[in-house]
Amino acid sequence: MRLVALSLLLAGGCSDIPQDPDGTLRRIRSEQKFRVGTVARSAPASEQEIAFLQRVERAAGARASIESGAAESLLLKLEEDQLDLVLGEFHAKTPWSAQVTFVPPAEKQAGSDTKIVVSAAAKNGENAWISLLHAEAEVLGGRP
Amino acid sequence: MIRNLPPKVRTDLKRAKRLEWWTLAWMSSVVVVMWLVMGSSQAMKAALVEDVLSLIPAIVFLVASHYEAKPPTAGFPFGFERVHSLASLIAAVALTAVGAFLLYESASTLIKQEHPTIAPISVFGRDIWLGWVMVAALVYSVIPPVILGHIKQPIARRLQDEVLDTDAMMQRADWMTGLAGIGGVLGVGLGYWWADALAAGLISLSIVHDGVTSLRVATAELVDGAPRALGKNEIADDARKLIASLESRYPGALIKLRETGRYIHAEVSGVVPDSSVNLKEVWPGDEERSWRLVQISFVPPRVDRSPEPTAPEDRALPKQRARRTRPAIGARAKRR
Repeated sequence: MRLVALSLLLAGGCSDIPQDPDGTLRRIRSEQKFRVGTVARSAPASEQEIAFLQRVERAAGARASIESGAAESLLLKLEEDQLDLVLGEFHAKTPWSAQVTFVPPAEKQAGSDTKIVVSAAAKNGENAWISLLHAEAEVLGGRP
Repeated sequence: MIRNLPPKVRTDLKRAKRLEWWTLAWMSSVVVVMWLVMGSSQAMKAALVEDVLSLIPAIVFLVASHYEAKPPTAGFPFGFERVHSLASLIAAVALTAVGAFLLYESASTLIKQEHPTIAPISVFGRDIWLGWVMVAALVYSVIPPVILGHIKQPIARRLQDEVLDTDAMMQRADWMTGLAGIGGVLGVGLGYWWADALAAGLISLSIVHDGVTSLRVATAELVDGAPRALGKNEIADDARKLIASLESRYPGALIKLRETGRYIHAEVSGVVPDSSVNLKEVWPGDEERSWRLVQISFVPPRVDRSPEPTAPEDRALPKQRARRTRPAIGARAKRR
């Protein structure tokens, strides 16, 4: 009986792992809002990007608040906690891959003739938020 | 050159070689598993590096045992018993340097407050947080070395083998690396970003500690230090007893011991040498360990003369003159 109780306690505790050091997902769920930066380009947002955002909204139970801008400035804002997500086209070998986490990883999506890929970037280490994005990333070109 | 070792010791030597081959096989599988799931965790990286480094003592032992068995040559008339020490020194330097580098990296990660990302992975269509896979890999990485370490340590003691003993000690302590790594990964999972770098720092410290211990022991042997206890910088117990035994046999003599590999060489200065010495009789304590003593060299008492300088060079080079008048090394007693 004690063993069962301990197992249930452990299983309950495990479901809370991973958590975010800066509490991104908890904040998004409580505010029911997340801040998205989309990389500005001449073409409108693709169907897959829209589908991805809709899926993330459903999973997080929150609405996306979107702003547009240059990739560099958006990624800087992401690092400084002013954005929760940056969505757009990135080079498969973008040097930003050390500073932020790409879901799905940009370099894994690249083919022999595809150097520019669509990916979503999140702040490094926000593992609960990244796990949620990962679960919805199929529409962006497959799960990592 | 393997000296006249008792059959029991020879059997141990063969078993040790077999165990080191097993170590290479098991630890290679651990390295592959750890590399596959390492991700961007600093603790995993440090644990992986430690696992790679743990291959070195096994390789060093096998290489050194190969050379130890070779007979002396004209170029190396004393044989290759010291290959062990040289190889340990090289391994110790590598261990210390890599440990120090990992320690620097962990400290730098903590100072820069870099948050490690441990993302999920898809396994057979299901998402699993990579941290759980890392924990499983770390648990696996601990089991083979801890078992092998426990089997190897008594053999290392019987063989008086420094490399094998260091290897066994490192492997026995491997559970601490695993525990630190698991703590780091689970800490990240619980939202403590610093747990990963802290765990990596602790693992790096253990690597540096292993490296410095090996460095001190290997250096002691290479500079003809007195025989050390395995894994320590203290004089070995049997060496202390041997000094006492030789002192009582040759009162007033200066006794010096040194170690080449697993063997002890003794120098007795200031007495007239015996015509023959039975090394087994000289060895104090456990007779089964008497194979450790392989040579006693005698340096007879100095005879001071005051020769008349006859040639100009004798006046010009007093040091050379002194060397010529010094008595030659006396009788040598050897087991062979």
